[in-house]
Amino acid sequence: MTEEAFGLCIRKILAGDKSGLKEIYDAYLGYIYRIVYGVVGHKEDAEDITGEFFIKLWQTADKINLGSGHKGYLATVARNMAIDHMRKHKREVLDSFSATEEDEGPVNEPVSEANTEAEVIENVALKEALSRLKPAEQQIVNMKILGEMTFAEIAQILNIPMGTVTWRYREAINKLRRCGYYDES
Amino acid sequence: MMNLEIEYKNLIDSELPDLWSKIEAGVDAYEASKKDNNDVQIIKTESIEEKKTADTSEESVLNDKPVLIRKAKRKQTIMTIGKIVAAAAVLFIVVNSVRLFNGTKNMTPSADYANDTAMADGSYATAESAAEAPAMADESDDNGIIMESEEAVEAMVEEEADDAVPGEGMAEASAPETDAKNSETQTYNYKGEREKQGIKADETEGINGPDDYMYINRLSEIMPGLELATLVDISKSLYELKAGNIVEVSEATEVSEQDRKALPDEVKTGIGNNEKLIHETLTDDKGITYDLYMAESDEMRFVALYKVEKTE
Repeated sequence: MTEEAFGLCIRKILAGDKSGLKEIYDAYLGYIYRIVYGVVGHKEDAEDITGEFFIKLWQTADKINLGSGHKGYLATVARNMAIDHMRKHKREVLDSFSATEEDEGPVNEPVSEANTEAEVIENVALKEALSRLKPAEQQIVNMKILGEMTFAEIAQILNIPMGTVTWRYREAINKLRRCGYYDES
Repeated sequence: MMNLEIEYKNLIDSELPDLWSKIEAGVDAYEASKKDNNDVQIIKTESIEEKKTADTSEESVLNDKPVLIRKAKRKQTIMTIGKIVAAAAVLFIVVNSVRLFNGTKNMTPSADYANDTAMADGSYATAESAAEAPAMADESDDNGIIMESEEAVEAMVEEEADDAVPGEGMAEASAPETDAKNSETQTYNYKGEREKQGIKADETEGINGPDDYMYINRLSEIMPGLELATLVDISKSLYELKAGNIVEVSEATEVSEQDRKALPDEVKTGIGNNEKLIHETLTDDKGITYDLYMAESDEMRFVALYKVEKTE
């Protein structure tokens, strides 16, 4: 979405027209959801926070500084909301994160019907590969790749040394490489 | 090989939830509550205006009452806050005076000891550092920098100073004990560097004193999450190597079994069987780099630090 199109949507929101918010939702739902999921690592929480994000966007539309890189702004707000949530519910989030890992595992999550057979095999393979990671490794991979965070930011949020973060990430990437996935960074 | 980032993002995108109805409901609820608030505000404004028009009547005396109570309450709150601030200031002054008094008390005998025994034996530096300890502790107070880690460090410094100078006549007796501690902490971090400088291993310079801790704040910023004990160890070594302010730290890498063979013995023997050897490079503001080795099991533990000599 261009800056002009985004500006137009914000003006619609300020006028009380929900179609402005719907356009932003259609354009950025995936982007925002990925970032939030990357930080909290939990599907239901990510859905709640993403929903809250768009409601907050409606509420604070008058404070948005138009024409100064809206995508980065949206990412920062979403990331901060997810981090706030994680800090408030740290214990529960971590518990549920590991519970997902041990009990169900991402392998059992439903795959969209729209996928072709090839995509399904690919997805299952990636899920399988991810399920081979330890919960702590998967959390760092999520934060780095989906949350688009730096190692320093991850270290600060998880309150562990940056060396440990980079080490765990590298371990995870090595495991995933064995499954046929490479990371450009 | 598939690109992990693209594949993972595609995977998440393929399972995007439909949140629009939920968001729409949230927006409607917000708008409704906003409208309600506006209505309440309009009613409030109207009631205030009614009060204003009725101000000339005798009933207005009653209407003024809550305002007076509010003023009295405000006064009371201000007075309470004032009292708390005053009490805190008095406490602060008392604590600082006691510390200062203790500091001068500790400084005198150890400084005397330092003068008396200077160069006579290896304990000179120990006495000197003991004299520095309270001074540094006060200095950090003057700067007004109060952090949890600093307080912990301060406590450690004071403990060391107390150990080294328990009182007149005891200084000499305690000095070898401190030296033994020093040699124990120093053997594994800068032995190589000291040998290069021609200093024998048993020629103990004494503990570096609280100056070691000038690096701790900086290290805790650029290497968040490290244990305080690890930070203290790294700081000691940086002080020993006369490092400047650390401005950069590289990413951590694991040293392979093969690469370990080329490392000094203190590094090889400094790690346990189940520990991984992690290497990072620190750079100070003079552009000098330092190789930092840490052992990792559950958390990072300091092993060794070496200044990287530039060869031209």
